[in-house]
Amino acid sequence: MNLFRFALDNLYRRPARTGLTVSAIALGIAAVVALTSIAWGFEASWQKANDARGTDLIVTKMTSENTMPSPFKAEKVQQTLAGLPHVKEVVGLLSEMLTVSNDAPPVFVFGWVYGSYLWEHLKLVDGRWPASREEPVVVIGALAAEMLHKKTGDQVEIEGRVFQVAGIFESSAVVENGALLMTLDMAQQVTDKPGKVNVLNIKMDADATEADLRSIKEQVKQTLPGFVAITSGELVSKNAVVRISKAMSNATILIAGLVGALVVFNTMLMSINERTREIGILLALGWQRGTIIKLIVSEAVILSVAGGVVGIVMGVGIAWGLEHIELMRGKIDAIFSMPFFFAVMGLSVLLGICGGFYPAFKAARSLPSAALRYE
Amino acid sequence: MMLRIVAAVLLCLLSGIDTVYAADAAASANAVAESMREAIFSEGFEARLNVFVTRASGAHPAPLKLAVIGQISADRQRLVIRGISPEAARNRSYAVERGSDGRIRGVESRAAGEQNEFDPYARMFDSGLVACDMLSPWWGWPKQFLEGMEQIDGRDCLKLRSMTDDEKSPIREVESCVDQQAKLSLKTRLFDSRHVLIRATTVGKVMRKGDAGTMAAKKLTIRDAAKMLTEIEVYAGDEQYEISADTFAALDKLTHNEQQKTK
Repeated sequence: MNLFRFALDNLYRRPARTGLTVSAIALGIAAVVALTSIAWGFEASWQKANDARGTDLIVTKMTSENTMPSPFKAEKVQQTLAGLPHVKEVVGLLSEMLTVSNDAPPVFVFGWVYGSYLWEHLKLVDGRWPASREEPVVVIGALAAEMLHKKTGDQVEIEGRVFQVAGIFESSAVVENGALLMTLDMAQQVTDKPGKVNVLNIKMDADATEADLRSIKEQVKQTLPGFVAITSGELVSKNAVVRISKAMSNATILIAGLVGALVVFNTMLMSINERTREIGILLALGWQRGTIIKLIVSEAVILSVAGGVVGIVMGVGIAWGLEHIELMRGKIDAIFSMPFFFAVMGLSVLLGICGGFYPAFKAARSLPSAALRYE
Repeated sequence: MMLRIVAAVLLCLLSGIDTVYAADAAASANAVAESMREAIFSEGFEARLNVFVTRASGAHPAPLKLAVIGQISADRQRLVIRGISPEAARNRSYAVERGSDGRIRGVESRAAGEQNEFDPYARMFDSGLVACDMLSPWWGWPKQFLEGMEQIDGRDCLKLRSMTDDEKSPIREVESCVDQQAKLSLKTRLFDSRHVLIRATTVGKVMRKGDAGTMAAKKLTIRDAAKMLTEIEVYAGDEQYEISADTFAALDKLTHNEQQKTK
């Protein structure tokens, strides 16, 4: 019988304790998987939305850390930016999180400059786009249409004004799929922010290089006090919600790691106390102390790997469930990857080794004569 | 004899210390009130609110959406509270002004240009919202007293009592608990001249203002003497709202009419 089989048999012999230990580890790992995937997904979704639009640089207020930066008067800033070298297009974007139905949670309402490049990445699946800057219509993301139970031709009330649904679109970014879209002029009217935008999107021409982007960032810093030009990734990483969700995910990893290691430690310590005579017999039969350590650590690692596998499955399930509950739909987009799962399994193995090492060392130090006398 | 002189000197000294202490306390109370008054100075702001009312009977009227637009300076404080939804509230707005003389007056506007003076101490939109409370005139009252520290939801706040003898004001006394860092009153209780509670406002959640870095109330509740509960949530805002020429047109018209009458 090899060592692995021996360790496995030891765990099978105490199914209740093994099951409880695996459950405790699995819960910790599930929390890590769910929270981390959602935190990364939240960041990735916003970045995907910005990247999909084809924006090279975003100009916003320097202190903005909210989900959407504070609105500002666009005209003068826009004129300055349009005059910078290699700048092809400068377009404003206004956004608010608004309640558009008493039966559904608030959704993002975006206002984009009519006819600008921002609209190009969207795929119209039904109806049509707004026909003019001032047309009081909205197009809604496929997910928002489903959540709000709206179809082309229906009406939605936004901030006391009635808009007709002109069409339904799909986007690669979940943030946009769960949003309502109208022209910037209409968004400014409905939110009472004439001439204001949250961000200005800059699209560079085909000849622009990384050096040109850096140069524009520097020129914005010099010529537009209070404003900053950043990439979409930089904007998203500054976002307070992204920062909080990442901090929560890191805290969960730390707590789940500590709890997991303590659970394994406690289980293995109880196990070797119960098996003192058994360990004494093994030592008396000539087992090396190193082999005893390997046996106990193997048991701990098997427990934590099993907990890791179950935890990953549970974590994926929790994240999927959260994505589909009414309150969160269209706002989170958990992302998973093989490297992430391998990292989680690595964490599980580490928990096993950390939690199992001391009990293993303690067992290996036993004297066979004393262990055989143990009742 | 000697003992009497010593006792008299000690008494004089103690009363002197007491007087100095009382003067210092009044000065710091006034300073806190002044800092609260200055904290809301703004060239223009807008806040959009979700308002949920629970009547004493337990009935819930349709939730309201309101916009509050304001311009606050040392000399003049002006607000417009405009209904966004539902339909019944949409065409209604209340404009209120407090001038340098401390007088508060208001105009109610309805659809089709109908405008009437309204009592700024009265409820608006059949909710617990009162225009006068939004102006917090008590920070400018002459009698301010500090009454120690308190903790509300884990936040330290300084208790301040403000009093006025103005017989025109139905509110004579206000108890506030001021978070000095946030420049925000976490709890405000308004009393009449017989010390009967009129309304109590409690801040439930605070938020960081976008650019200023200071705090503002995100969620608050108003409970009035008639046991009406009004829950307010700020869902959008603009700290650099551009006040247009017609934002306070109703108030300007009222001033114009008053001037005409005086002539």
